[in-house]
Amino acid sequence: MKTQPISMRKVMLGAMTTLLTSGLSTATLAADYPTKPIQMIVSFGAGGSTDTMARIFAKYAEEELDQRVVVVNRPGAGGELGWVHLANAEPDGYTIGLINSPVVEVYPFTREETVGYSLDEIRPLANVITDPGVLAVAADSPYQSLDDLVAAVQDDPESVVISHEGVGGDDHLAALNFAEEAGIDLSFVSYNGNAEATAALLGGHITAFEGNMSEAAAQIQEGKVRGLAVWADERVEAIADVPTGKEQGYDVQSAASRGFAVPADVPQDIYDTLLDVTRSVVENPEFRAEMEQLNMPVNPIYGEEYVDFIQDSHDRLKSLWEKDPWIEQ
Amino acid sequence: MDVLFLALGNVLTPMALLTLLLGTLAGMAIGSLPGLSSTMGVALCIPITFSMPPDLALILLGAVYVSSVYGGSVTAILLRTPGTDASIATALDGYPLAEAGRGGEALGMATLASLFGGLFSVVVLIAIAPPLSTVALAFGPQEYTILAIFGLVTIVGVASDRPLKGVLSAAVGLVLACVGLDAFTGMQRFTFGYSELFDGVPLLPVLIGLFSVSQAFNLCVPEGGGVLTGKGQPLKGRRLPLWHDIRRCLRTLLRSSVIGSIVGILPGAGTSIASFISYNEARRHSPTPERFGKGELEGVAASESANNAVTGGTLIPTLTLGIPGNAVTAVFVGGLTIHGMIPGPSLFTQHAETTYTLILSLFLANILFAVTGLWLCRYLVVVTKVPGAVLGPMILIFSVIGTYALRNEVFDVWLAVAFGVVGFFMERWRYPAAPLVIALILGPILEVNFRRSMQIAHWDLTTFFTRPLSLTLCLLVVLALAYPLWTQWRRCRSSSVQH
Amino acid sequence: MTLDTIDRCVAVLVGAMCAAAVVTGLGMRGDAGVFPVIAGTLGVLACAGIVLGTLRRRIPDELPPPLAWQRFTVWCLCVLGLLGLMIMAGTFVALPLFLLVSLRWLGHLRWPAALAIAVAFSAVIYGVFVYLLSVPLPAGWLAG
Repeated sequence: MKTQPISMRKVMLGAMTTLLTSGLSTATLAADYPTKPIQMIVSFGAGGSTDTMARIFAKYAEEELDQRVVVVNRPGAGGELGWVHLANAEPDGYTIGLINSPVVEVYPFTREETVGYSLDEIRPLANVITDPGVLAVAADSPYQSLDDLVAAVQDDPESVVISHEGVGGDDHLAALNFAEEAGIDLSFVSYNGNAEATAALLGGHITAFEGNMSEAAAQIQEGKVRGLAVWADERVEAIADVPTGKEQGYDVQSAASRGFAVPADVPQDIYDTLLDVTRSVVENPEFRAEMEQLNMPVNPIYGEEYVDFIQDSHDRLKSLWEKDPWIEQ
Repeated sequence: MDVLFLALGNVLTPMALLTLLLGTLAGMAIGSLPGLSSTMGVALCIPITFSMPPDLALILLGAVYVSSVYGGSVTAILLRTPGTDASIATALDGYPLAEAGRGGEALGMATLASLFGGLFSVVVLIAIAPPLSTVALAFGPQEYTILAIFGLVTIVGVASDRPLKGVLSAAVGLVLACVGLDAFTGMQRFTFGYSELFDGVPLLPVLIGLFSVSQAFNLCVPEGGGVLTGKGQPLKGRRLPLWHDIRRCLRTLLRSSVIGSIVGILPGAGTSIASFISYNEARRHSPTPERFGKGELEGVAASESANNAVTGGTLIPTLTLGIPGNAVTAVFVGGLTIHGMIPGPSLFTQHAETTYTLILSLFLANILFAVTGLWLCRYLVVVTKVPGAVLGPMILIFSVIGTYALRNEVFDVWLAVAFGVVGFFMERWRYPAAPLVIALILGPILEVNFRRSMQIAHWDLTTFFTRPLSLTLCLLVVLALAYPLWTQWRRCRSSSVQH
Repeated sequence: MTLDTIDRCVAVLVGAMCAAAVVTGLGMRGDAGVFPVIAGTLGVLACAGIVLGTLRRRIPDELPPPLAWQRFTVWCLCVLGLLGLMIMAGTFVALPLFLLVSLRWLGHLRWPAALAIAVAFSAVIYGVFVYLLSVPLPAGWLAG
């Protein structure tokens, strides 16, 4: 409410500038941007990890922008619905959204016939979180390393059952990648949430759990779950005892990344403004501290670099898909 | 013990009490509006709690959670518009009571039952949370499969004196539950290309359609319709249930609270299973089972004490294991971690003071909503006197806007209205709607866990009978199926002996 | 139509839909079709049971409760109008109009009363959903 007079003045100023220059150019618009609340589309439900990150980010972004940032949840179709809304939103900078890699770049080819957006309609802005994949077993499990697990599968393929959170998600792809590296066939069981999968793991109903670091970290720190591998280049601080896959001879890289994107046709100067705002929020130590509390590793990738990151990941996964589709058609 | 006193000190500060009061009132309002679920209420509070100290934040979340579950019973009883699946069973007997002018009594019983269930589960949470949390782990996919079957068998028996129509309604619900992307193969099933259906037929729009929208039709369409006016009776009866009624229901209250607490501990099992199983058990043990569904206070008591007992139950695995029992407590975990408290055993050691503050605030929130509820009863009942043609449009608007607010999709609104028309005709043609909704909830639990069991057991069907826990549940299902047949047979025989 | 006739029609219709689900389920890859087949079969069996039940006629046949078709049609048109207007003209154009019309013609309230309720109730909805919960309701004409 406090910001209202300021923004009103900005509107008046903007209108006068427009009159004076007698032409409505995007440059004058951008100079006043933002004059009204900004909608932030979250493609997952309220209370999930993407949503939590978005709401914390919004809190800081509001201070930077001096405008309200309204989080709008549009869950559905594993995130697709929200991205359709983002792709079709007015490209005026008043709608931004979160994108979750790798799923956002996977749908355009795995759901080729029905998908409602294409990557050309979305312009990635900046990555914020990169949450590496983790393969974990219960603390009382006999398996101490990836080699133990591989040996067990080779011995009796039916003895090992691994959970993932949905076909075609990053967990599933990571586990498939690991199976390919190890030259084994794994039995999978799908869980629709980290909670149920963890309960099944602790209860001894499944052998291992493939998920993300932020979800598994608390249980690993408590000592109830043992991480066998983290699918990253280097060990992760929050769970420094867990070796990477690479260290054990299985070169698998996998992570769920969460960042921001805007509709493709947003004017360049508004894009730059948003990028600056994102940068200052992500570099803010208070924001970093809150992310650390939630075990969400901040991994900033800005602007064009992020665009390339998404594109590269898309190309790599698409060639994998064309070789061996992981969803039965 | 010291910790408990420290926590008591935290709860009894003016600021904490104010937060508690506001949270309770907000929760009651959220629970009573169709479309605003407990999950949404708690999620909406999370950003507010960012700037609060952890104690106050948890008090707010806890108060909103428990009172929103209670709030659902108010509209379920007075208007037959349950806001979430938790209150469907409450409406089965609550609404007939309201129609007969006994809405005040039903509300009073619902309030006392909610209080009883809520307090019971909080006591369980304080006293034996850690050992009980192992229950959550003992349940594997096999057990969940049988539990879902148990729930389905129960609901078909509960909802109708025409069991075949109940079965058909449930079967349609199960088919609808198949819609969407298959979690195991990623294949699209019955989506007809609508991406709005990829996550399945959304539950709440169907529920709001079948109950609230169809109720708007019921109230508006007949000339001079209404909750009371249809029966031509003025508000009569007592405002509160008599001590005699409460004592009669005591066994039911206790049994339902135990069922609710246990089902609450199981992650992902759902509140509606608890309330329906409790309702069915109450009917099974009643000397007058034929009065259930036509306005029996005991039915209201069973359902309400069970669904409020779930609140404490869901927090048991959440706080002790860090495994949220349902969607609301998953949001809770987010709220806890933001304040640097990682759910798990450390909550009871390192952060014990804050944790016990939360538990005590649940206790107080239960008492607070009960006091407010009992006081409000007499005023709320007046709603039933409002002419149907005035109530109807308002219920419809709440349904439409509430449905839209769930995920901001116009598609869901059309779905709710379509199911409203379906529900209107189902009621006229005497097809019960509750089995459809419950099957829609239990369908995915049943399917997913059945297929998980098969993946784990490599398609060996005997896996359901070789595990002690799942075998026990199987026997319960057989009992639930056989008991009505047996009583019927006995009744036939005794009547033939008398002749 | 009597309830028995209605039951038969419903059973045939829903039975056909369930059968379609079974057929589609049988064509699905992997174990994706198992559950649609089970659920569909259950539906077909229930339909068959209902048809047989109506043929055996153990309970006397009845007519469903009478329906005021005229009011039903007016109400349906109101609801359709509400949804259509909400999307095209905006929520807070549609809500008061819908309330006004349905309260006046279905509830037989006087114009001032209907108007007062319509405006007050729309304001409550605005306060709760737009102001407190910031739900982006379709804005339509009022968006500019």
